[in-house]
This record gives sequence, structure tokens and C-alpha cells, in this order.
Amino acid sequence: MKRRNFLLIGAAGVAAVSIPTYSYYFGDVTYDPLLAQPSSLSLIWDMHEIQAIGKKYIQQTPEERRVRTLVNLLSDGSTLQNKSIEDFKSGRTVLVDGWILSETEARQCALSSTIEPLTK
Amino acid sequence: MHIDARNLPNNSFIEGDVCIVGAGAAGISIALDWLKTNHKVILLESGGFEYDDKVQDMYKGKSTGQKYYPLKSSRLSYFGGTTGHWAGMCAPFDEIDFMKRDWVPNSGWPITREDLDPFYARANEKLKLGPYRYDLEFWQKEMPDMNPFPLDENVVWHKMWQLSPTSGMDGVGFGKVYKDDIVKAKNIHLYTYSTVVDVRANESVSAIQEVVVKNLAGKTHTVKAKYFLLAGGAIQNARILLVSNTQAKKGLGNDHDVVGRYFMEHLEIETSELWLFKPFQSKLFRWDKVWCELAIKKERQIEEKILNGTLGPNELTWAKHSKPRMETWQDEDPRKSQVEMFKNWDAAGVEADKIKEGSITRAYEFQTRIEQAPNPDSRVSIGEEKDALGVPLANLHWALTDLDKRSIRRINEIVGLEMGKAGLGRMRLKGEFRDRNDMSWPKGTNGGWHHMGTTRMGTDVKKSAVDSNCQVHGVNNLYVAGSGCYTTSGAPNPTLTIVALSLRLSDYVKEKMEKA
Repeated sequence: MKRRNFLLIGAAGVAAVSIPTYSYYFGDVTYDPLLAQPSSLSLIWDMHEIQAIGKKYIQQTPEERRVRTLVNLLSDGSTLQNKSIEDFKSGRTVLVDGWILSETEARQCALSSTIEPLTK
Repeated sequence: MHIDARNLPNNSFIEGDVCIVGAGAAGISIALDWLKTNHKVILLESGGFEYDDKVQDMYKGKSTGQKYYPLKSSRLSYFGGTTGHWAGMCAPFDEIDFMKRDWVPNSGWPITREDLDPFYARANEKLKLGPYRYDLEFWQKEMPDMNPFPLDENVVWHKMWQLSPTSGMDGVGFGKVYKDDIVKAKNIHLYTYSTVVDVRANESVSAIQEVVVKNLAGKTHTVKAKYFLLAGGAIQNARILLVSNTQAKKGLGNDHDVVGRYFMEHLEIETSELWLFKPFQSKLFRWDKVWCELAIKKERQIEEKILNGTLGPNELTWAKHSKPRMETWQDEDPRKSQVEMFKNWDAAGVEADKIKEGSITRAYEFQTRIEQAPNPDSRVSIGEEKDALGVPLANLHWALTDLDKRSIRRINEIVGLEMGKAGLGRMRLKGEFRDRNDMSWPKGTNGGWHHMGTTRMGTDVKKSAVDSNCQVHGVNNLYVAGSGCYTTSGAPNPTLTIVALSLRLSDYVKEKMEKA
């Protein structure tokens, strides 16, 4: 995965959260790149921070370290934004580096962290 | 009328109907309540009208346990008392603060919020506040753009404070505001430089006969009255009772070793950050005529079995550069400590002003303000060392509990979940509040300089020092005014309740005097 691709998706993706125009290929897993982009969190963090949180989430939840697992958990039909709010309503939250996050967005961060890291 | 007791002939004899010991928020409020009555009120103050370091020195003491401010600089000993460095925050205690809560050991006042309501309204006047209204709806009509966070009202509510113009932060304080009223009153006899060193009871210790006062000019005087009201602050009141052991060996009202115990503070700790996704326009959280913090609904507190507390926001750009008050307020001299604290706040402001963009400009640090669970091991006691008048100094052992820690963490978690549900932003807990099993306390564990609970109110003489009328158990004419009487410390700042409780006591003594 190249940084350029990710940035392209990032620029176009916000307005079309549920309509993927691109796909990522990771080993034998193909997925909508937007799955790896927590849109709300990107309002407060840059990609480095998102990926750093994702790595910490994987460290504390090693059973979700595989891309396939994360993609399966994130792809259940509902929009990610709604899914995240539903997580908060249902108490499906996790504490990562002190942040109180929905499981969905923590997994999005984790998926993002599997992409080639950005360089500062 | 004002008399400087240093200028009286030695061994003067002073007599009145009521003797109030201490001229701070409690003592002055009571004295004002007796203006223009036919009763002669003796108001005793250790200091003068201005700060005097030699008098303040008598407030020294040792602290053990949880780190605390120097005892000398955490209160003030001159006319106006600790209101001289008070920020002016006023709010009534909540209904739940008075309730017996089975998960809070030693909770449950013998009076209710309803009992105090009429006195809160009168206290509002003494503190020169606005109407006795502390609901958001009222203030939204009074002031523009008071927009609350759109959070679930069944979980979080917006608790309001009013800010008193009698605060000490602008060099005012009760001392400046009420000096003329007290000094010009014919029936109020204010004696400055009059430190009570002994309270003497009759042989059966059922009534007080006189108090002995001294000053650094070497004078000793005796004061007789029908009623004695201790209003010297929670540490000093306990100290006076404990050192007055001529007739009662353990000290007055201390047959069951309760006086000085259950010392409480308000924990004021920076516990989390709130990062908003979008700017939120509101004047609700600005330090203006009123102030607002996020509080947890009573029902949720009961469900979660937590203490009552609130979260107040500060801009993170400022907060990340400011130091904990427990660090900056460590000079024995309260004036120097205050300068250090403000210096740090100003420096943080300069750094904050350099940050103009980025998501951090929408970020806030939450300070949790919370009651401390009443704990008998948290206590004021008297030591071996004596002050310049020969009175043993008070020492403090400040002890917190796991319930305090767990409650802080949970309150922040609850608000964090609600922020997520509302899609407003995300919260981040600070280091010591992340692990549920971590019962340690951060270096920035501040108190609010609020001393409470050393002469607590209750019906059980083995667990309380005063009854529901603030009368010392078993001593007919001895009362305690102020925050020492709090059974639990409540979430909000103590001053409004100090004044309300003092006015209630004032009414009670008037009634008793009329009957007599």
C-alpha cells in the first residue's frame, strides 16, 4: 500500500462514507479503504496518531490482530458512523491509551495501523 | 464597635449575651444576623483587619498522609477569615448530599436539603449573589448563549454556581465588605487580637462558663456569655475543643474521640481531556457571573454507587502548561503561595496564546471536583509543639479512600460515554485514572482549601460531635458554626452552605434565648 493511495482516499472519502470507490488488497483480503479511516477521530487526530492508537489496540486485543478479523468485524452492513454511536449506547467501548473509544473506531484504527506507516 | 484587645488593661473582663469565636464567613454572617437586636454580641477575632504573619504563624501545623498544603497558608487568620483568598464559588449542596447512602460509610445528615433551603436563600443575600436560583433554565433566560451540551439528561445535568462579589480574589472578601457594618453596630463588640486559648466549662461539663483569650502583646482577658459559638474554621474549632481539657480530659465534646476526625476536603483533580469534533458555541462554561460544571444525576449515582462530583472544563492549551496547585501552593506564607499560583497561571496563559490552530483549540481539560467520603482516619489532632501563646498546634493526617478514587474514575467514564453517544467528541482519562485496580493518587491531587467535617453533625454521639442544631453533644450552650459540622462534604464549594448553616444556628440560638 502506498501513501499516495491512502491520501487520495482520505481526501475523497469523507463525503461518501458508505460508497466505496476504491478497494484495498491486503494478502488475500480485499476491503473498502474507508474501513480503515475513522472519520470522527480524523477530526481530532492525524493519521500517525490514528495508527499509533491502532497498534496499542492490537497489543491489548491480540485476538483481533489479523486484517481479515478486523475487516469481518467492521463489515456488517451499517454505516461506520452509526455503528460507532451504537457502540457507545450499548457500552461496547474500549480504553486505549486512556481514550474512551467505540469498539468500531478502535478497530478502524487497528486496521489503519496495518497499512504502511506514514513518515513524518 | 471595635476594640483592639492589645490595648485593653491586662486581665480585662468582657461580658455579653452571645460570644462568637472567629470572624470569617460563619462568624460575620451570624454577627450580622444579630445587628440591631437588644442583645450584646461579642465577636472575637485572632487577627486584626489586615494580614499579620505573627498571628498567622499560630495556624502552623504538621501534615501527614496524602500530601497537603501547608496548614499555615491554607486558611487566613484576620477579620474576614479565609474569604480573603476565596474564589467566590457558591452553589447549594444537592439533595443526595444529605442522604444516607449505603455505599458511603458514615453518610447521612440529620437534616435535609429542604431544611436548609430557606437559609440558603438568606445566605445568598449575605453573599450578595443573585436570586436563589441555581437551575440552568433560569440563567439561560438571564444571560445569552448559555448553551448546554446536548447530553442525555437522565445521566448528566448542568450544575450551576453563582460567583460572589464578596470573594477575596480581587482583594475584597467578607472583611472588606462587612467591616463598616460590624464596626458601626452598637450591639456588636468586635475584639481583634483576641485568640481563644481555653474554653472553660462547669464542673459537670454541661455548660460553658467563660473563654480565655490572649494576644501577642502579652494580654489575657476573660469573656463570659450565655451562648458560645465556635466559628473559627474546621481545623481551628477542633483544635480549640481538643485543647480545652481542663474539665474534660479528652477535650470538650470528645468523650468518644470524634472531635478532629472525619476531616474532609473537596478533591479537585485534573482527570481527563475532552476533544470536541467541532467547535461548540456556548458561554455556559465561562468564568462570569455564573459557572457551570457537568454533574451526574442522583439516580445514576445510586446505581453506580459513587460519590457526588462534577467535571469543569479548562482550555487544554492553557491547562497543559499549568502546574497542579498542590505544587505551586507550598509556601507557608499564604500571600507568597498565592503569587506563585497566579504566576504559573499567567505563564500558562502566555504559552496558550501561542497556539492558534489545530484540533487542540477545541480541546479541554476536565477538573473533577468531588466530595471526599467521610473517613475517621482522616483527622485533625493536637501535637506537642505549641504556638507563641502556648497552645498546642493542630496537625493534619489527610487520608483518602478507594471509594474516592473509584468514583472519580467512574464519573469521568460516564461523561466520556455520554460524549460519545452524543457524537460530540472523545474523552481521554489521565494516567492514574485508567486502571480500575490502581488506587494510587496523582501528584496533582489538589484540595480546594476546604476544611470540613472535624466536628460533624449527627445523632450518634459516638460518631458525631454536634447535634442537628450544631450544639456540642452534652454541652448546653456551646455550638459550632461552619463546615466542621458537615456530615458529608457535598460536591460543590462549601461557603454558601457555611453561611446557610450559620444562619440556621443563629435562628436557633435566638429562639432559645427568647424561651429562656
